[in-house]
Amino acid sequence: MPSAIRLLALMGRENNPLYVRSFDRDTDSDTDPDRFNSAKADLRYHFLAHIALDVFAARLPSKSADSDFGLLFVQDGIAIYGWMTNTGVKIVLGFSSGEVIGSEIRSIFRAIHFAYISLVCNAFYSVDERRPITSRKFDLSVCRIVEAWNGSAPAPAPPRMSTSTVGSARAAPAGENVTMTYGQSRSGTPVA
Amino acid sequence: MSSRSVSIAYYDPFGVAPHVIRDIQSRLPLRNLHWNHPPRPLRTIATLSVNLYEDTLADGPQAPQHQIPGLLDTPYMRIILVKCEDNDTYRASVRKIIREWFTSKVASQRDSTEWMLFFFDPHSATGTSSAASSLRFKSSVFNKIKADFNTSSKEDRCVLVKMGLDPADDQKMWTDAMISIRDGILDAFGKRVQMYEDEVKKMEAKKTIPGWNFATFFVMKEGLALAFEHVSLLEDALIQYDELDATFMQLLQDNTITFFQTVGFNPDSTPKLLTRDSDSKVRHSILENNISLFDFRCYLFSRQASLLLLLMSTSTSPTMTALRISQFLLRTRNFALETSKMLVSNGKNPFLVANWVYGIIQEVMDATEVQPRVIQGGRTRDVAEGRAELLLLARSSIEQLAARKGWYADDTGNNNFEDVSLVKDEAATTSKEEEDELLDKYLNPKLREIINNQESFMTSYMDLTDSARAFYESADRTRSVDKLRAQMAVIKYHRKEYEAAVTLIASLPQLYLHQGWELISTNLYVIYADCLFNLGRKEEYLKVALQIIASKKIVSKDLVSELCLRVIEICADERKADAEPLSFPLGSLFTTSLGRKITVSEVEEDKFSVKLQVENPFDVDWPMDSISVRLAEPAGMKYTVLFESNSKVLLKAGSTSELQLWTTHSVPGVYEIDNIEFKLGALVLVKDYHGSEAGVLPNQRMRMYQQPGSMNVKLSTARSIRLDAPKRVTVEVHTGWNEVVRAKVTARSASSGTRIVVGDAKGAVAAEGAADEEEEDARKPLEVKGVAGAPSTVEVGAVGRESVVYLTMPYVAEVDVKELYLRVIVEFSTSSGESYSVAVVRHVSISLSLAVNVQDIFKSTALFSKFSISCVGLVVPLRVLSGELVECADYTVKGGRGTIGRDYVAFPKQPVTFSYRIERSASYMAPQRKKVPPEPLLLKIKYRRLEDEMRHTISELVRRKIAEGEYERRLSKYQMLVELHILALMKVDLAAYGFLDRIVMGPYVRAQWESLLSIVEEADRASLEQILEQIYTNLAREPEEVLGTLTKELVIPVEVPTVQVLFTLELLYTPVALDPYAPAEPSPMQFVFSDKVFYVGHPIPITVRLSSSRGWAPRNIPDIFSTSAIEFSYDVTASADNWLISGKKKGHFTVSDAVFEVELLILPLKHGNLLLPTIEVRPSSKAHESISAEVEYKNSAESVLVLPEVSNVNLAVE
Repeated sequence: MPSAIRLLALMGRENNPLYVRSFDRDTDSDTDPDRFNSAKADLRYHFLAHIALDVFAARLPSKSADSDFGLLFVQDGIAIYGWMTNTGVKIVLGFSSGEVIGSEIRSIFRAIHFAYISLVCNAFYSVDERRPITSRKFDLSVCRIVEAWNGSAPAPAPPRMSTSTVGSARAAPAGENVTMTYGQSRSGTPVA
Repeated sequence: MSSRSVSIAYYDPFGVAPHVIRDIQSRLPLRNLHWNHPPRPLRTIATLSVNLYEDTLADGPQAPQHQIPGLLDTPYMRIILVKCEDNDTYRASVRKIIREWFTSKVASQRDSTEWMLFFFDPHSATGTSSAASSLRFKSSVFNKIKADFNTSSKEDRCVLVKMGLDPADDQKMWTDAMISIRDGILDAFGKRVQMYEDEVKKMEAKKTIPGWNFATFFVMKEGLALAFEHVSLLEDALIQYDELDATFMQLLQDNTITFFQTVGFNPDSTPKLLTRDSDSKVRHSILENNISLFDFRCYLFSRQASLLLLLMSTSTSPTMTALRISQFLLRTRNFALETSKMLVSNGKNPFLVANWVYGIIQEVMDATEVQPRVIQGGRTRDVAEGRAELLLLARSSIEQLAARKGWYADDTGNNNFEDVSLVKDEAATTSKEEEDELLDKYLNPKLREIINNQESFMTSYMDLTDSARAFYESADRTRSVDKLRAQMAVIKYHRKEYEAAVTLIASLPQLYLHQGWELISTNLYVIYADCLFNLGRKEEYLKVALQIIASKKIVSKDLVSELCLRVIEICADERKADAEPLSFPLGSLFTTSLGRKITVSEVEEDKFSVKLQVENPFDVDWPMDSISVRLAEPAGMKYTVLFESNSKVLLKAGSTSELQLWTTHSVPGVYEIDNIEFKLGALVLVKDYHGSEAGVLPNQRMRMYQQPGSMNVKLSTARSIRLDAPKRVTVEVHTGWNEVVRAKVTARSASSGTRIVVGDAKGAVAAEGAADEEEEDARKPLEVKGVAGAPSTVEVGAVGRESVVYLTMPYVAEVDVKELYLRVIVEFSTSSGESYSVAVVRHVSISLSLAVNVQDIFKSTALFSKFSISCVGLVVPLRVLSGELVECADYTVKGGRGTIGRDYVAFPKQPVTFSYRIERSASYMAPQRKKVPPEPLLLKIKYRRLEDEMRHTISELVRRKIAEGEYERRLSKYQMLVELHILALMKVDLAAYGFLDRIVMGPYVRAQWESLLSIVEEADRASLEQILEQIYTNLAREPEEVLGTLTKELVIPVEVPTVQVLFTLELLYTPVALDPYAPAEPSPMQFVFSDKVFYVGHPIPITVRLSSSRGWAPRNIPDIFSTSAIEFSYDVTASADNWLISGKKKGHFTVSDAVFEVELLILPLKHGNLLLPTIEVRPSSKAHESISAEVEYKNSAESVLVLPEVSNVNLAVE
């Protein structure tokens, strides 16, 4: 039983983010075709993708020619798996921690790598390795890959994500001076 | 029984153990065992402890036997100790005993067991005499035993133990014995491994068959593992467990595990993981399919863990130890995660699970705690990393438990409670009270303490975070460190410990931003900003707030608006205080776009403006104190012009404002944008086009041009130039429509090698257009004041509109330059109180552009001078209007015919020539004038350069055409622009113009005007083009009245040359036999050759007449001829082919007033017109060669007609 992909991130050779995207399903807008809107790539996933770079760097010297970096680390309930292309682009997938992931995710990595190659080979796409990818086509093909994978899994419905923009610094009442509003709604915590 | 020892059982039916066993025991444990069991590589066991115990033949009460070999703990080797005196005894009983032992203890065992026989001989070394026979006998018993029991010839399982040997032999005997024991054990071990492996393989092959018994497989596999463990091959044992684990996980994944009835996990009996013994009870319950899933996994893990811990403590190098520890830590992590997931998804209480996870981590951390001190070297990182990860896992546990009470550490997104929330609905069977009770009962005491109240939770949460961070730091995982630091900062921020938060966070946002992680950096910036705001560190706050506002894509609109308001408020406050200016990139806040034209003012003033569009994307109005645009010349002098808003500007929220920015400084030229600046209090928003962003920002070229009527500056030189007078240049300041109150004029030379002396400027003022060449008197003197400290600046007072201020100043040209370039800046204030400035570079031609050559011909009575006026260089023809040689007191001048009234064009190599006859006036030699040098004559030449004419023609035409008719005012502002452009384009044939008096410019080509037309407003383009086309087709020379202003006058003083002596030579025809009837006074015609005819061979008598005159001697040099006799010589020469000369053809004479005559005969040798001989005169002595002398030879180039001798014709009469 493969588990659902919750995070996909691509990072460039200079360790800059190329593409960070959360695939936590927004249960409210399942019908919305754009429900994997990249604006929802949230802070947590950015942090996780960023940390993954550490592990890539640490393992690289002893790495054989293989691209697969396997399980990088587990944090915040997400297990992060890594893959590095021969051009130094790093691909990272995140799953719920504790789930058993076999070598079958290599196929996903390869598919995403291929999607990236198609993007870069497009003569009409100006490649700037320092800027995040903004390509509708890449979005779509990545979505297709991930959805095909996730679709085969009876995906647990994780709590919905709110937008990832940074909220007001003053609006919150004094008691809970909340600055960042992203991540999950609190309804997920057991109270009963 | 220690798990890492093998057993050897000995059977001692004859009571010889005391003699043998002690010796064996003393040589234990076994060392350096090499187990070679292909395909495995050679394994080495450094030490192997042996459990040596006495066995009885009777079975006695034993543990229940299983059919599974793995569970048996049978000895690897059995030894029987034998003592036998003689063969009979052997045959009678001993053999039987041995056989019985062998059958029951060795052969019947399923587990492969090796055996050995120790034959004890107590007498072997006592009594040498009888020893021989007894030995032989004893040996024969031993040999018999050997023959009976040694099954194969290769292996000798029987050992003869002799007593009383010398130490060396004794030693050798025992060494051999021990080797046998060792080999035996290894052999038995190998066989067992082989057997287990075969079994395992058999079982594994059946894995896919439904109803396969995993438990049996498990026990078998574990048996193998235990076997390895017994012989200290811990790695191999671990491999077995790992394979077991993998198979299990595979089954779990395939969902084919059927043998677990229960999930297990009884909080009551949460076992200690690492200290649990490998109780065979568990194995039995496994075999009986009685075990719970949880217990099973725990058991498996604990076996792996204990092996790892063993490996850890026995490894040979610190690096290996570290590797083991890090492996162990990572395994713990995976185990804890997987198991907790499994438990929770099976409906176990998540909080108890969290409690369990915490317990495990505590245990593992404790178990590995001492190790890092031991570890040195490269693997420390891995260990630290593993520990950090476990700590974070523990942190999650307490977080989860705290969340239950409604306490949250922070919001940075570590929510790993979703798994909990998932099962909440299903698991909601337990009520909160029950849960409380449960937790109360089972909670780890330490955890209980932590969860006691929110503060202790926070403290330990932060402690955990900090120590995880410390571990990550030593693991060199900087990004993880940064993340935890950020997390800490956020916690501190929520706890209102702003100082602490700021210290933690300060460097982070920049760090993330630098690596391109904008979302993170912006989120952190928001926190950072708020901390700074709360701490009242306004300047820092401003910087950070602006940074956030700049990344508006990521941040919510409300937040941006709020930050904007705060920023504006702070800036406004700081306006009063003298705060340090804070610069920030403009482009990241506002979008600006500058109009592509510099526009001249519509009313009569020297103002220019540019249009700036500013888009304010925010929901907040931004007031700005000032907005300015600075333009700079991209090349050359790099002058800059600053356009400013007149007052404060309000940029309306969400809209685009169009601003007009003005400047009163007119510096015509082509510009690029240098920067755009918005000022608000201490805040300066800058868009720098030449700074670091320059490569990114597209620039634009803009042209600033003056319009007619504005303040303007021209240069001129004096109309009339005397070559001997100091050089001067005049700066003309045309005030245009400006009523100037006071003005400062600064002039600097812009060409190298020239210097102007501004301080010596003479001022004059005249009304515009009034001062023409002839009307220099119309200029009124104007007072000019120098400015202290500024030598190139002068000040003038009030000057009315439409006036011209003439500032004439001397200049010095150190090198020969043709053009004088001056940069003139006029700063002035007008009656309206405004200040303006104009800065222009102007040039004026200072080269003479003509050359005059003089040729002098002396006659005794007069001097003829020929003046050739030619143009300099190849391309600047001149129009010479007149040339006049002005006579003076010493000379009278005649001639110069044709020089007045019409003009001539001097082309290259075609000079204009004027000739004059100059005579000394009567008073020249007057005694009173003797001492002064003679006055020079003045040659006045009026001329114009054709190029100037053409320029002027074109300028005039442009001016007229533009001023004409309907366009008038509308186009007039372009006049100067068009003039400049057309003059720049002008590449015309000057020669053609000189001959035709028309400028030949070719057709109007639009492409050449594209750059200019782009500046012109669109409405005006068509009409301007029309004008241009007209100009191109109609380019007749302007009439003299117009061009007259260009006429220059050059006055050249001409020194009249002198000679000390002038010789006049003449050849006279003097026939010897004069006609007797000739009149006494011969007529002069008698002496000329011209009307005579001569014959070849007939001599011609001639006289050379030589007279000297001192009429052209200089008056200030004394006459040397009057004081001494100076001799000159003459020489009559002729071509030897034509003439024979007879007489004194060479001779000397003394210069005197008297005429000197010599008579000669010349004989023509050829017929035809023969040139008369020439005569040379030169001083006789070299001392006199410095005397200036000229010769006037009257017969120069005169020829005589010589005929053949026709008079001697012979006539023959027949």
